[in-house]
This record gives sequence, C-alpha cells and structure tokens, in this order.
Amino acid sequence: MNKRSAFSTPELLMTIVVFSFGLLPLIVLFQSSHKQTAQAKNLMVAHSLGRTIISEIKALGFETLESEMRNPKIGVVHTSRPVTGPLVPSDAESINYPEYYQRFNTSVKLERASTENNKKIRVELDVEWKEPNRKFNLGFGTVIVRYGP
Amino acid sequence: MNRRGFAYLVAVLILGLLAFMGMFLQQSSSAEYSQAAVSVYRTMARQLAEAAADEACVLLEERFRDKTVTGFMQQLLWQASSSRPPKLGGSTGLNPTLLHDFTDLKDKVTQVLTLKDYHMTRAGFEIEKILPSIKDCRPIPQGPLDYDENYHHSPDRTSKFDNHYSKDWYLTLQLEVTVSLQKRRKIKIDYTVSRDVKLLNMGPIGRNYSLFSIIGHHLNTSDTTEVQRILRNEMNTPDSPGGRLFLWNMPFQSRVYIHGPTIIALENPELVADNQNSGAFNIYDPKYPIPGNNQAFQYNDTFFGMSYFPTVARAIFPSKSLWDAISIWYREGKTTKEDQLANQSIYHGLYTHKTVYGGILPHKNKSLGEILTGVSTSGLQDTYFKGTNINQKFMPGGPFCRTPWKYVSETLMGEDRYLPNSKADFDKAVQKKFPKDDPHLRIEHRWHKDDTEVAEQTRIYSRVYEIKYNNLTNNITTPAPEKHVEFSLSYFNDPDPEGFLGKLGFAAGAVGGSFFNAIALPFEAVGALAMPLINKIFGPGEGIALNPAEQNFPNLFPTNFKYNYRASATRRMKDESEIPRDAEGRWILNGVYWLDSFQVEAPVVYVGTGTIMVTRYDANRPFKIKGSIVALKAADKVTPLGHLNLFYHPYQPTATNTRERAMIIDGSGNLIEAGVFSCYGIRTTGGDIPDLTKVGIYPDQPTDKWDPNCLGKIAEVSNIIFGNYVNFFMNKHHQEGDLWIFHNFNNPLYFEKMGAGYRVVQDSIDASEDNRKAYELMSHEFFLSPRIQHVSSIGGGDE
Repeated sequence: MNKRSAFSTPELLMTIVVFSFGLLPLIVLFQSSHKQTAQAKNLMVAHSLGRTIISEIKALGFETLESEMRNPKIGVVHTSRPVTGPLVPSDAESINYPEYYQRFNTSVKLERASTENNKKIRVELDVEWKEPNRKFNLGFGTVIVRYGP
Repeated sequence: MNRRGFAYLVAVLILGLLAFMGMFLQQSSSAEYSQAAVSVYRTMARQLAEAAADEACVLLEERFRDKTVTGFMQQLLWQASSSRPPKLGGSTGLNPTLLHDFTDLKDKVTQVLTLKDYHMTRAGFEIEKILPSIKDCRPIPQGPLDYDENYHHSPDRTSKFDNHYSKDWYLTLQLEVTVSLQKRRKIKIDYTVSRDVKLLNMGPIGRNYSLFSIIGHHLNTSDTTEVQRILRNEMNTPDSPGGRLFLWNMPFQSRVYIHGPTIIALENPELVADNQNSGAFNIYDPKYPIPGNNQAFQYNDTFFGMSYFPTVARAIFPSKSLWDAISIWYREGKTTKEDQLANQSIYHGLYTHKTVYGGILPHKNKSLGEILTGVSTSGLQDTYFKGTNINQKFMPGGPFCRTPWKYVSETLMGEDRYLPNSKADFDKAVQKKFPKDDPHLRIEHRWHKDDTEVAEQTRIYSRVYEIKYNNLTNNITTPAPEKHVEFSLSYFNDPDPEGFLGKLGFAAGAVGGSFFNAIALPFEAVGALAMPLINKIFGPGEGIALNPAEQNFPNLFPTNFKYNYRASATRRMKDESEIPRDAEGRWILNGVYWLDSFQVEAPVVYVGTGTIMVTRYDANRPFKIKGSIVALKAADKVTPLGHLNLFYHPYQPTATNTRERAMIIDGSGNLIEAGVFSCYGIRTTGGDIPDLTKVGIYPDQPTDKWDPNCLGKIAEVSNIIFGNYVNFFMNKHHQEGDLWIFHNFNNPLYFEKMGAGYRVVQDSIDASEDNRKAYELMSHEFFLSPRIQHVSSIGGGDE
C-alpha cells in the first residue's frame, strides 16, 4: 500500500490552535473596523440632522424665533428629543424618519445677545446618540439675524 | 510527497491574508470615519461662516443706517453722490476707507464667537477674517431724469431744488469670510456673500408744492370744437363736477382747495384757434416751438412756501353793506370811469369791468335773515369776479383768502382804508395796508425757463371771469365768457405763515383733537393731443417703463419724481395686508413696498418711513382709500414719526377709462397724511362742504377769528391730503367730492420747525450746504436686502 502523505492530526490541531490565536486579534480588528464604520454612519446621520435642523430653523426667520422664545408654539426649543415621527409634522403624507434615527436625540437652545436693540439670536443644536461604548455628541449652530430698523 | 509543516504555512498565509484584509478594512473604516468627520467639520465651518456673514451684515447695516457722525450713512451718502450713471461715465463713487474700524469684523461677531468657543468646540474653529467691501455704487437709472435739466426749475432760482445728493443709488455689499480648523490646520472654508444695497431718497415727490400736475388736462380728443366744448363746460358749468374743478379754492364752486404753492395746467377754451392744441395743453409742440398760453402753469414759490396777495388783483366779493358800496361810489374821483381808465393803463385795455368791493362771502343754506340782508344790501344778484392781470398775477380768493377782499387800483381810492396794502376789513379799518406785490405769484413758462425773451413774448392772456350769484336762490350763472377769459385760480396763502398757522391752532399741542385723533384709530385713452408727449415719456407698455428712445423733457418733473420707481422697490407684496404691523396694528414702514393692489377700508396709523407703490390697475381691487391714514405722532402730538408716500401709476396707453384708474378716496372724513402721486388723478366720491361757516371758516373775518379747529372739522366732513399731491393728469371732471390739500408743516420733510414758527424746508436747504446735507441725510434711508445676490464657498477639504 502506498504511503499517502497528509496532515497528521497533531499537525492539524496545532495549526488550528495557531490559526485561532492568530485570528483573535483579527476579529478584534474587524470588530473595530465595523464599529468605526458604524460610527461614521452615525456621524453622517448626525451631520445630516445637523444640516437639516439648522436649515429649518434658519428658514423660520428672526420674527418666528423671537416669538417662539416668548411664547413657544411650534416647539423649536427642546431638550433631548428623539428623532422620530414624520419628517414634516404638518404634512399628513410626510414620510417618517427611519427607525434607525430613533437612537438620535436633538436639543435646541435659542439665546439672544444681551445688547440693546438685539437683532441676533444664537441657535445651538446638539445631536446626541449612543455608541456601544460611549455617548456621542455633535454641536451645530448658527446665528439668525433681523434686518432693518 | 512530504507535506509535513505545510499546514502551518497555509495557516500563517491565511492569517496574513486576513490580517492584511483586516488592516485594510481598519484603514478604510478609519478613513471613512475621518472623512465623515471632515464632512461634519466642513458643514460646521460653513454654518459658522454663514452665521458670521449674517451677523456681520447686521452690524454693517446698523452702522450704515446710523446717521450720526459715528455712523457710516453720512459718508456713504456723500460718496455715493459723486457717482454717476454708466451712461454718463464717471466713477462709481467708491471709497475704500469708508469702513474705518470695520475693515475686519472677525472680533465683532460676538454670537458666532460664542458658538465657536463654547458650543462648536470639537474641531477648534477659528474665524480668520470677515472682510466687508462696497462695490458698484451707481445712481439707480431713471431714464431722462438722470439728467437734472428734466426736473422742474423755478425761475426764482439759480439752481434746482434738488442736487446730486438727492438721488437714489444701488450698490453691493460683499463679505469675505474665512473659517479654519485649528485641529486640522489645512482645512479652511472661504465663504463669499454679497447683498444688494439701496440708498433711497424717501422724501415726498415735489415737496415744495402742495399740488403739482406734471402734464395737466386730460382729453381724449384732438377735435378743436370738442376740446373747446369740454373746456368751456368745465369752466362755465360750476354745478357740474367738471365745472367745479375748473375753479380752485372757490367756495361752492371748487372741488379742490389748496393751501400752498401749486403748479397746475392752464386751459383756455377761448384761445382754441390760437394753436393746434386747441387751447388745451401745455405740451411742447414742435410745430409751434414758442409756448402758447397753454404752456403756462400757475406757479408760485415763496421762501415761506406760501404765496402772498398781489396788490393788483380783482375783488371777488361784493360790499359788506349797502353803505360801503354806496359810499365808495359817491366819493369824489372814485368813479367807475376812472377805474376803467386805470385798467386801460394798467391792464392794456383788456380789463373793462367795474371794480367790486369787499363783502361777505355768500354761502348756501342761508337763513332767511341772511337772504334778506343779502338782497337788501347787494340786490337780487351779485357779480363776482376772478381774474389775473397781464403780468400774470392771481386774484386772491377762496377760503384761505383774507376775504372780504377788494381791489383798489393805485389810481383809485388811494387813501385811508383803500390805500395800497390796506387790509380788507374796511368796516373798522382806518389805516390799513394791502400787502405788497408778490413777485413769486405768477404764471410760469415751464418749458422755457431760461429764455426770458420767449417768456415775455408768450401770450398769457388775463382777464376776469364773471360769475353771477343770486342772493335769493344761491344759483350761480355765468354769462358768456369774454375772449381771453382765463384760468380762474384764486387762492391765498398767508404771508405770515407762523401767524397764520398759529391762528389756526397749528402750534404744537394745540391742534384740534379730531384732526389727528379721529382715527378710531386707524391718460381714457390718453388725450389724443397729449399722446405724442406721453409716448415719448413712457414708451409702450403698462406702468412706468423706460422708453428706450429716451428723450429730454426740460423742466417737466417735480423733485424726487422717480421715472423708474420699481427699481427702488425693496419689498414685493400682494396687497396692503402684507405690510408689517406692530402689536397695536400700526403699519411699520421701512422701505418701498411694491404691491399688486391696495385698498384701505379702515383707518390706519403708520410709523416709520415707507413708500407704497402700485403700478397696475386691478379691476377687482382698484386703488381705494376709505378711512384715514395718519402717522403716529411724537410726544409733542404733532410731529409725525415717519413719512408715507403713496404712488399709484396704473398707466396703460390703450386704457379708455381713466375714471376707474384714478385713485379713489371714498366717502368723507378721510385724512391722508402722506405725499400722494396718482397718474390719473384722484376721484373723491364725497365730502362736499356747502357752507364753510359750518366748519369754522368765516370768510368775512380774518383767519384769527376762525375756529382754531377748522381743519379738524374739515377732516371730519371732507377729505384732506395732509402732505402734498402730485399727478400726471388732472382729470378734474372725475372728481365727485371735495378735496383739501395742505402742506404738512409738522413734517420735517416739508417744513422746518423754528422755535414757535416754521419755514419751508427748501429755504433751510438753500441757506447752507450743511443744511442741504442735513436734509438729504434725513430723507435718505439705507436698505440692505436680506436676499443674497451672490454666494460662493471654496475649500474645506484635506489639503
């Protein structure tokens, strides 16, 4: 009977052990990479939210914001509100935010400069979300101004 | 084959491959995250740059609107005044030093700095620069009005009313912003934004005139007979709307009462054959380059803004008493014959009527006693005269005349109460004086202001216009007019405006409550004759459109008239409901609002300076005012906190019904505190005052005996424009109700308040360059458009 060359059992076992030991850090590497990709995705979502919300607030204009500061009606100012529900609340046919967005919370603060004849409202927007190992936060902002006397 | 140990090699190779993949993946995801972060930072930087630009714009706007010496408005205005339209060449009036300490605003945008330092701290943003610059400053093109000669020029003056400071300009404000990331030094956002700026003269059009008619009469025929018929009707049929409008300031007979300098067209149906314009138009006719009678405009302009009595004037009312009348006739040498002789010498034989003597002004709704008195003292029928002399001076009369008034020629009755300059209340007077001749009250040839020879040769015939008044029936009849019967303007403005205004209760705080507080609160086919001129002015199309074949119209337009008003617009609106209001419902005016339509159905109060412009006719919503429009007043209760211009120009070359295109003032009790322009004139629908005594105007008494609140009463029962009124066409026959026009002496854009008195603001402007600048600074406003003219952004990537 011809002698067939092959891996011996100890050899295979040893290989598996070595392979496994070598694979462990690689798994971590993959996990880390996956995490970073997820973080990048969340960052982009937060970025998108930051752009959208700031643009929406800018579109409201100074007078509306000023009124909102005195007598909140449309709920511009809020704290840690989850991003959920319809994209345009007043539109019954509006699409909803994806479920994924629920992990994001937004906070909006309006501040006026303390000078006389104030024509400037500072808008501070925080977008928060949870990463597996920590909370993440991005600050956006703008200044809404009033022209004219 | 010996493969011992090969498995290790394979495992290591696989591991290596996996490790390589892992590292690649790690690198890739790291780069992805990094790119995502950069993208976020770029957005944040852009947001900061936009916010910085907005905040800087507001800072600049505040500084530019600031008219004090520390603000930029003064310097900007002086610099802008040196710019010229491109077609005239010259500079753009730029001055790079204009911005002073505002050359870089990076440390002044406090709100953005707060955001950067306390909220958006992740990337370590830095505002590197915010550099403003001003570009392209030019006067707003105004067609022929780019040339100063087309503005009205008074022959009293060596210069125009306005000068290079009085125009409107457009310019561009540009901001260059750079935001960098401290933690990623190579990332920078360069953001450039520019906005339109307008520097506008918001003062009234034709401020020196209570009424200024640019063209004048509006007829839709060129047929000589028809023109004559229309004009005669307006002149000789006082009971019809047209007839009432031919007369100015005449009780019972006028629709329009004016207080203040006026330019209106003259027509003369009796000169119908004298030129091809059939006695109707004051239009330059190339076939007849010498202005005819109809090219003259009644005109007066005094340094008080108010005209004087001429001494050589005709009496307007009969004797106050029978004895007064008789005593005059029986005085030696005071015969009618002498009077006629005097007229022969003074009036070149044109004047043959008897002199009529002062007396009470008749009014309708007389009591039986008054009727009997009138009949007994003056007979059943009195004769009234209005007229001018060949020297183009006007007969004073009307409610603002110190009637009873009488004519006394210099060769007649030259003694005691009949001395020249004697006062009119001859009942008690012993030594009264007539005012001196007023050189400023006359007819002016607008078209040939510099050609005195032409002016002298021009025939502006003067004659009396005779009215028969029946003391019993109040009927007014007019005998066939004599040849050369002419325009019968008759109005008066007190030579002592301070005293006059004071007597009427115009002193600060003494104005009758109802005058200001009554607010609960609140060219038919253009005349065929005029068409050539109108076409030259406007060109084809609706509204004000610049005629590409631009021509000159010397001396035609009033000050601050805008040929291209739409270019001055700062806001476009659907209608008046979109005008911003404060919590009390007051209009907050700030700019030139271009509306599709305008209808006010309830009283309005405004604050701030603005112009409301409508340039088209809307049959469903014609321009209509029903209810007062008044300015909010300062603490003195009379000084308006702002100024409103109403500009209505629904011009349509093919329009056949100009009645519907006139500005409507509906009903009575409308007080409009504004400068008003209406292309086709104003159509009042009510507000007749059949008896002036009912509003406290007693024509037989001096003004100091009048009701101090007479204007307040007029405001309640009639219609008042308290400001000034400019039109393109008179369209007098469309006026169905009364209209009173007063210069707004409380408005600093018309009058300057001097201690207890007033002076017309032109007097102040002419007094010194500093005064001129102060006025122009007051009348001009700076408007920064919130809309972006241009924006660009570069940078933001990893370099």
